[in-house]
Amino acid sequence: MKTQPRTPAADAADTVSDEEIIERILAGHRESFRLLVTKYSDPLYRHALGMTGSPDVAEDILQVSFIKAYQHLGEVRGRFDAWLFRILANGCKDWLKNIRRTHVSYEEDDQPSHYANPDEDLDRGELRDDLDAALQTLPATLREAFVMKHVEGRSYEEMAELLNTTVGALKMRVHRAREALQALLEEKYS
Amino acid sequence: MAHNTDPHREPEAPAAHASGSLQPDTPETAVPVMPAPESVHRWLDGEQIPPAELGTADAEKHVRFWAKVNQETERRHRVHTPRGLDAIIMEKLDAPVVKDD
Repeated sequence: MKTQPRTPAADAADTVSDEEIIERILAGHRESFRLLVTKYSDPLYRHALGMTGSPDVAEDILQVSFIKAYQHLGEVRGRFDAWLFRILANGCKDWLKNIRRTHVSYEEDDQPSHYANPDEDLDRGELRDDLDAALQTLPATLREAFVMKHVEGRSYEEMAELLNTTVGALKMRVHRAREALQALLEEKYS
Repeated sequence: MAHNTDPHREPEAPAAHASGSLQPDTPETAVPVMPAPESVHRWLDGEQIPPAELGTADAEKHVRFWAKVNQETERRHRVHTPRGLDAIIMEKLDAPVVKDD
């Protein structure tokens, strides 16, 4: 696991509202955008990583999403975090559509580890790989719901707001995702 | 990389499919030999479940399975953005920002 100490930018981002930060940026203080990057990059990176399974692709989607957000910052209406999430989530789904259409599969063997501790990596590597492989078999909507609930730790209410759907529909998706993952993994891990 | 990031685009409707055909909200997927009881799903959703409900022969194996998977998902929850990515993003912000008043 990579750990990063709290930075002054992270502390500052916690004390100033998004609206205030956006006003500063639009007034010409470009550097203030760093506060938004610092504040939202971790949860968004986790989402992209969970959806794509590839650290490189997740980084790419994260970068493109922030740059797009910066370019359209004047168009934000409502919550910035939800708006930014939708940019990234759409980027992930587009990537999934493209990769399925072209039948390209990526290999993660040459990717850097998600974890810092090599012992943990060895112990958990098999389950990590198996879970990644199982997640990739799920339809995007089920994978998205599972990742948001189980990896990102979001509440159903928050998920419903971000995905513009109902709590009931999301509970059903998470339920179905769990069943599908268990069907794929239970023989080995029960 | 082709990447549509239109910030105005709404999240995909659950029933919408790339081909335009209708799909159910939860597409057909595999199910375990013995699906987990509802109490296990409620436990996984974060509800407080009486230990007796999770200790039944039916629930126990599902709890064991999900405890293992949860160790991995919790580890993923602690993953951070790679170092230096914020600097890379800031370097790429070269387009002018226009206030749309």
